[in-house]
Amino acid sequence: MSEKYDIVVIGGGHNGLITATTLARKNKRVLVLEKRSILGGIAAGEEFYPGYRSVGLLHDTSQVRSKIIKELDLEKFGLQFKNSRPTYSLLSKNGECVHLDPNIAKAANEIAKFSQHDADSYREYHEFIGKISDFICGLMDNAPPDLMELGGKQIWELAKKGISLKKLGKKTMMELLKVAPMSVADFLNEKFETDFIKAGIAAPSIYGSYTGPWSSYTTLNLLVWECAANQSIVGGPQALIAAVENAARDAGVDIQTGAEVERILLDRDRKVIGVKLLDGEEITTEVVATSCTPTTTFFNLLEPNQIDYSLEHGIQHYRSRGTTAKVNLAVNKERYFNGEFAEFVRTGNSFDEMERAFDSVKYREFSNEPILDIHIPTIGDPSLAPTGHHVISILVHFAPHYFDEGWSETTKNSLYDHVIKTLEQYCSEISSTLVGFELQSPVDLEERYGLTNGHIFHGEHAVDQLITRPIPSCSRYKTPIQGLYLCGSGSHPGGGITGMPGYLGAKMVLENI
Amino acid sequence: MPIKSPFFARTSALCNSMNWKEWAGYYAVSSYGTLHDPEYFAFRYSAGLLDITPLFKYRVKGPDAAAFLSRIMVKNIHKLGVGRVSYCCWCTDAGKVIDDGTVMRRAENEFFVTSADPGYSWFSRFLRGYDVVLEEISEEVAGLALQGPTSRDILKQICDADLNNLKFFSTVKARADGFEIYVSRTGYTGDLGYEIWVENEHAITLWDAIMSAGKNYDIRPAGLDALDVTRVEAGLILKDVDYFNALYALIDDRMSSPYELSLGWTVNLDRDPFNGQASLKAEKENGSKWAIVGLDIDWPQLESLYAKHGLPPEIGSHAWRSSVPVYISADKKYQTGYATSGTWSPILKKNIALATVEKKYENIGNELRIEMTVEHKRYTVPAIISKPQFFNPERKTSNPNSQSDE
Repeated sequence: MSEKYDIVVIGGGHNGLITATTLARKNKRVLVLEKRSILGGIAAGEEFYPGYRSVGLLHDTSQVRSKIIKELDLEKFGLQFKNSRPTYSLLSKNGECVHLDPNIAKAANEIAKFSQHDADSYREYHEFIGKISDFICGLMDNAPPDLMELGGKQIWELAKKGISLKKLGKKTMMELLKVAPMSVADFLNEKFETDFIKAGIAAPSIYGSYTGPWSSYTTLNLLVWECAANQSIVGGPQALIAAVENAARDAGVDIQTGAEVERILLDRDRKVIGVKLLDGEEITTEVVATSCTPTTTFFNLLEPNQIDYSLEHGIQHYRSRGTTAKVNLAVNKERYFNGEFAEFVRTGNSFDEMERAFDSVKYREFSNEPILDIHIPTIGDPSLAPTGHHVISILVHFAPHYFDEGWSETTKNSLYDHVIKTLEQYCSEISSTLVGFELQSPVDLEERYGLTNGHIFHGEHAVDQLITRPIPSCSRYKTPIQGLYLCGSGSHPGGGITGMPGYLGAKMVLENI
Repeated sequence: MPIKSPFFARTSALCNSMNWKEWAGYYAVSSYGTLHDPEYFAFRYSAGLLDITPLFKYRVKGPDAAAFLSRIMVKNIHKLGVGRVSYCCWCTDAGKVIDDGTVMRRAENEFFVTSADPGYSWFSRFLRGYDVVLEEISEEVAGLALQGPTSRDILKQICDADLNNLKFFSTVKARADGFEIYVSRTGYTGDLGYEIWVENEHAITLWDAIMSAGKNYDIRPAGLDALDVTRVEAGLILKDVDYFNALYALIDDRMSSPYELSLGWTVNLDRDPFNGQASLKAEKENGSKWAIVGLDIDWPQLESLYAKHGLPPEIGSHAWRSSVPVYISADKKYQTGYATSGTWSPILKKNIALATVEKKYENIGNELRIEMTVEHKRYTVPAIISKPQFFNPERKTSNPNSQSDE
């Protein structure tokens, strides 16, 4: 054992770095160990084709929590952000496009071009979102209540949640209780009449949740997204990572890249005593916080006999079926979609088409006409590509990790062809401007980022896995292994670039040591 | 409907009483004759042959076999030598016993495990991370228990195993006439005895060979009724009678730790993690609530109770298995536990029982009171706590050429 740290954080993604920084700012001696040679995890930008850089796996920074930006003084460390989400552009197959400006009135005016009814509904819809936003964000920004030990403090926490629910007022509260369990298709069908607008609004609710728009509880996912997506980081995910890294180093965090942890070391009473790296180096610590997936943490970093059966069983049944592939395109021209300039773009067209796209993964096939979540990061950061050229970042829904044909160069090329064919419906000249591309199947994502089964959120956003995430005995970041904490997307409030699991995980460490 | 064991052609031909029961899905003979007593006396004075095929049987093979079993069992299987057998139990996370059985190390990386309940579902949950193959071989392998003072002499004639030197709780592969068997010096009678494991196809040949070799040694096919008497005499607990599988228990009170079953001696606590370790460590430190003890029930007082009603003592020759309250005094003010099985012991001439009592009353020699119903009336009679192994003959563990072992 060489050195001793108060806390060792495994994983140098945004959550790991936020955990480390939060702890170091409370005068803890913290070490971050990152397996890859670069920091950032899924938010690490990389060159995917000579001269073109990606923005990592996820491209949307709208859910980064302002509480963290404030508490870690990230602005001081170079972070610039806007207090509003970006404009999302929804496309139809008939060549239509509607831009959902963060300004609701502006967005409604856009929608009115297609349907006055939908424009009015959109205003009402956002009135409702506005009313429940504090409540939903309150759930996201705090650790889940401790229901296992209902002492005075826990009852007070619960009571506060009850009071904030009550504060919504009778009508809003009842509306929330009514709609949250609904399928997003049923919910939006009640409000809107234009198919591609409904589909576009619904899109975030089915990302990484192993659901289609007709699955129940997808409305809950939509509401959470709508309430939480209220920022945007200038410079995207890489700017966030850069700022958090600066903050971490400033707080005295030691960071080692290229340092893969082989084992978390426990004593005979199953208390953490250190970590062992792949190269044999051992580091002494009594606390390990891991931002890896729950499956990696419990199944790869511990010996099989070090976890109880109940934990083993829980983690084994934690659902983490990857359904997303990633395509990065390098193009030599600015691209328009349905003839319009757009930075964040959603396809979908109709609930039927979205549902069909999801159906395929149930039968271990990829969708022949996937729904695409598109971002052109070069609009905000032209340095990612040669002058005048662009990068198109596409999250492809749905392509399964468990794929009957198996992932190979042939099947990847076949998926790529389907993505391009789908894209051509909105951007007919795309092929002629292509310079290069990269496609990562869920298996590639698992390989590169250590995502269990390639799941982009470290586990599905299903309602049961959101209430007690990942499993009841670990749902408050603390695990049954003394000294081992979770601080990644497999913990509350879940995946996506929010930083919250890392921040709340760190808070729980501080509460317990 | 129960199924037939590979020995059925022989056992059914011999079972004059038609007295069968169901054991783990098999037809099993309760007693071959109208009375089981001759079968009991065969176990104790010559040799009894019992079909034990219904036990669940598993083969665990591979480089991590010992590590895999050590994770599941309360005993450190790494320490079990090749050719040795371990009696042990396995527990839930909460340290409550699921089942008990034997683990036999047939080779460095090969084990044979028996259990009373189906075990595959539980064992297989722990395969992740171990280079090991777990196979259920319950329906491929048949088993016979040959138990009693002449069992060694009989078995010697039908196989080439060095039985004079086979120690208690050891196992060896042996050659019978044209086929292979595994012999282990184990059993459920607390006497000298062996269990013999054979592929189904050779089962009948094995039965015939043993019965024929045993002719001059007063061998007798024996059923479960006789076995039940011997196992109470030997103080060997029985799942579903003296304790319940923790996985099936409806309430926590029906679960028992190894310590509470007086199986603390099988637990190796200070070693790499195993199922239930943390809970068992805590229990060891904080003390257990229960203990299983033997009860020696006072005969003269029992006799006088019957006399009061003008009756001779009516004690059946079968072992009984029902819950009978145990009190600390005749006024029945405080029930400290319950007896779960008992029998009249013909060899000891004693009325004995196995009981679960509060740990503080477990000391040998303590006098408790056990409920006794005579002519529809409930009384109590004194019961003295004793070691559960009421009958423990030297021959159980000794070898002809050496002093007793273990």
